[in-house]
Amino acid sequence: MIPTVTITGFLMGTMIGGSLLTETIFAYPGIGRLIYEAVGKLDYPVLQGAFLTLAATVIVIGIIVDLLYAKLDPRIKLT
Amino acid sequence: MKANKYLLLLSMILLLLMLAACGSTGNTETDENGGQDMAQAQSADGTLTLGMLADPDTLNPLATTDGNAGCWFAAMVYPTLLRQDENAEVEPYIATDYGVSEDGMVVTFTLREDLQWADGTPFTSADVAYTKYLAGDLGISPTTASALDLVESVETPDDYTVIFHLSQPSYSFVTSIGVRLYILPKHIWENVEDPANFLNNTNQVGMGPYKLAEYTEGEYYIYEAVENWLDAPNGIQAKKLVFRIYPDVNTMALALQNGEIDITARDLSYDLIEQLRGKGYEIAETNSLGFTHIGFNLENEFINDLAVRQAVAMAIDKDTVLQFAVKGQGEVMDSIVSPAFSGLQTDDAENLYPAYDVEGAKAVLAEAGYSDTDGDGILNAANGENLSFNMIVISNDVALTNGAEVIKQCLKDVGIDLEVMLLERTTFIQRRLDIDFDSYLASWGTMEPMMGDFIVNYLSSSPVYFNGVKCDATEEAVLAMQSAVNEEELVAGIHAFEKAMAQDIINVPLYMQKLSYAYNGEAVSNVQAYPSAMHGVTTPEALVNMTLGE
Amino acid sequence: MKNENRFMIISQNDKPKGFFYVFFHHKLGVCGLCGILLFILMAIFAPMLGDMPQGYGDFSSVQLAPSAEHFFGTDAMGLDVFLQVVWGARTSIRMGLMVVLYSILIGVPVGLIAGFFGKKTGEFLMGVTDLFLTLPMLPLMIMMAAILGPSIENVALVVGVLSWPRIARVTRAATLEAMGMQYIEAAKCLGIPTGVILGKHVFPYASSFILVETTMLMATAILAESGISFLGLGDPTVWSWGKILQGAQQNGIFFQAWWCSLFPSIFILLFVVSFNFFSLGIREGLNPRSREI
Repeated sequence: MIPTVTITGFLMGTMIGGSLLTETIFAYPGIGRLIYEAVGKLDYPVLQGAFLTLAATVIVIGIIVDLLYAKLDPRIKLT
Repeated sequence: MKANKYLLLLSMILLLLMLAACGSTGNTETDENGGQDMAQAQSADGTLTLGMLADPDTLNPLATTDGNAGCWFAAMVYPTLLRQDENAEVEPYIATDYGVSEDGMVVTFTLREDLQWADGTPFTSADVAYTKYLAGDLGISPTTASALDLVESVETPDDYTVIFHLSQPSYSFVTSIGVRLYILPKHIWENVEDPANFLNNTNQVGMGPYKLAEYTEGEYYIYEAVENWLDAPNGIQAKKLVFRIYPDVNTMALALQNGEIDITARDLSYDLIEQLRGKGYEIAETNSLGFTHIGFNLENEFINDLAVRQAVAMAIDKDTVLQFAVKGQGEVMDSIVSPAFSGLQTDDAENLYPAYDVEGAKAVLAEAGYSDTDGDGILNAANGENLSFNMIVISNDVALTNGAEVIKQCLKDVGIDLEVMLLERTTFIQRRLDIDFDSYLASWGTMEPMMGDFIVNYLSSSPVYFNGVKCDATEEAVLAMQSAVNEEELVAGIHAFEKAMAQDIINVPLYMQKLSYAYNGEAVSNVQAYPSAMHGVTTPEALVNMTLGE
Repeated sequence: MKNENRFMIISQNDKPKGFFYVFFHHKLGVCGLCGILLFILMAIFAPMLGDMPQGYGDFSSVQLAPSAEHFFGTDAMGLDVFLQVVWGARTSIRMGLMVVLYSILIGVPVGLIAGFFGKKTGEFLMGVTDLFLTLPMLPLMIMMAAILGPSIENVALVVGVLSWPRIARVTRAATLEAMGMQYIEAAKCLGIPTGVILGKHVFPYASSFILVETTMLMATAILAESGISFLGLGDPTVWSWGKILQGAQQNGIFFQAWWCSLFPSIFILLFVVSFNFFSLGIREGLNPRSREI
């Protein structure tokens, strides 16, 4: 269970990034397409905002993963 | 341990919030139609969904220089004095009549008397005069500046007459201003602090058949029909227009097949049209009044050399460009006057530019002192520099990108290194306005000689003169066109201009294109494409005449 | 009898199977190796199969279906898709190698230092590594590719700079393991400089783990490159599989001229799968347990 959760945590980052291609090809208005379009226009404020959101999401997921360790495996204690 | 529990709870809440953010469009007013629910176009409630390729450059009708959504949206909301019908003939719109004095110095427009702006304020000649003040005196409007510069004063003897006094006679002034200048309501715009940079994205007050309801940049623009438009006494069938933005024509074609959109507001490539025709979609076709060309920035030291421009003109195989760019759906251009206006071309129009001749181009370059001194296949100037310059191209227009490939290869064959730079559409428009390029490949949406479009684009003082440096012969011909007082003089001016352009070669006309739009015959019928790539199927009259349902 | 039996077993244990023995008995690994060799041959002999397609072909040969003359058909510019794919292999391998080089150059020192010094330095370096590891790669790559400009070197640099953390993690894990071994202790006691210990004793131990990771990285690099090229941010002067796909998509012939989209896709798939299988084989070969009876 622990390795699964760890991998899931890491995959979330890839998942969010990977949606870029899907969103661009199928014209789905998501953060990936926003980034792609902002890159084309070199629109830095939009890029900063998008990356901030992505980073925040990844960090929150990281925290959840860490906390889940303690729940799943009683031997692990959060200090 | 307790603290951890709270932390876990907090993280969970944060995650939930993020998930929730993905769900709604964030705009409560439009939830039922915005976002993903828009996926299925509904014609039942009068909604017509159109596909387009990029945001308008601006929603400000004065500042727009875009041959796309920028001018569609301007024309849907703001009227012009005159307009063009489906055969590109000029007809009255909000002006009932217009006249030019015998000496050509006084132009009079008579306005319709029964009109009012969307907020109920009556439309008067003061609005026209104020629009002229904004566009001309403040110099905001790049596309009408060169014509408005001729205006000495505007007189409004009564509420429905506008008289322009010109500093010099100009035959093309009437149509140029009549068709290209969007008339704005004075009572709204006089309160605008900075009209040049005004976003104009809320509470638009216009007189066109539609008004902006809401939009999200990069995704969609929604327009709602007005109650009583002057030319649609029985009401407008397409009550609501949803313009969705797609990254390229293929995604747009796919969206048409999925039922996401009803019409492609941008012309599609030949392959897609054939594919869609095969699947039972209807096609609306028209000839473009514009053309595809290479424009030169004469500030570049290589391009400034006439020999290089001549060599480029000789090296390009226009037939091949036409074949690969639009699969041969169009006509090769031999002169700056498009074959769509063949009556206006001079007699020897096809011999004006140097003919396609690779060896000839090499000879011209050799004579001008370019030789391959370092043996890399690229010619070198006397100082050893490679004969290399860039060409900016819009990245999501496949006709242009394919054309650019062919041109690159053609130039390589004579020893010129062309660096093709693919740019996103709005970046392209900006860089072209800033003259930040060596050469560009683009399609004019429309370029009508009789309407003074040449003057707008090739007068060196015009904000949309993209060639950087003034060329004497061209300038002289443009001024002659501008001061023409009657049709014969204007035609003579056009002929002179045609020759001057071929002499200065500040651009290389390539081909005129046939435009094809696809639509779903089950959702909408009576679709008419107007002969100008500027508008095509999105001309106000075309939109208003569309019948929803079968 | 009993004694003899025991002796037999011990003697077998003393002679574990070699790496190559295990690897060549690992069917997937061998398949992967064959695939990789094929791609390498393709890349090396590309000029013999035909000149690099460029510019435009004959208008009469636009979008031709696969035939004896054009194995994979032709694209919208009338160019041979087979030659594009073959020349694309060159780009892919070059790109993969460069990515591996970049990530080893950054990742290995970071991993070694983090593992060797432990405590604060290690924690700090691993923090940075984790940060890079969790960052969504593709958006960052696209942004960097757009800013640096489209060239194969830049794309490789971008992918390399963003994929070193995987190498760093593996190196650190191996280093930590090595640190517990007695020969490192001995080397430390002998006063051998840290650099030499890391280079001569720790790195060789870690190298096999790094090898497994680099083969995986080749696959990731190609996927990333294809993605970037497909979005039109790749190098316009060379062929890459992503670029062929992009051409098909741009021209709206993704389904009509299926050969323009199918063949490059298959080659991307085969390339990635080959490297992944190859790394499975190597891992199996390096795993002491699978080398015992």
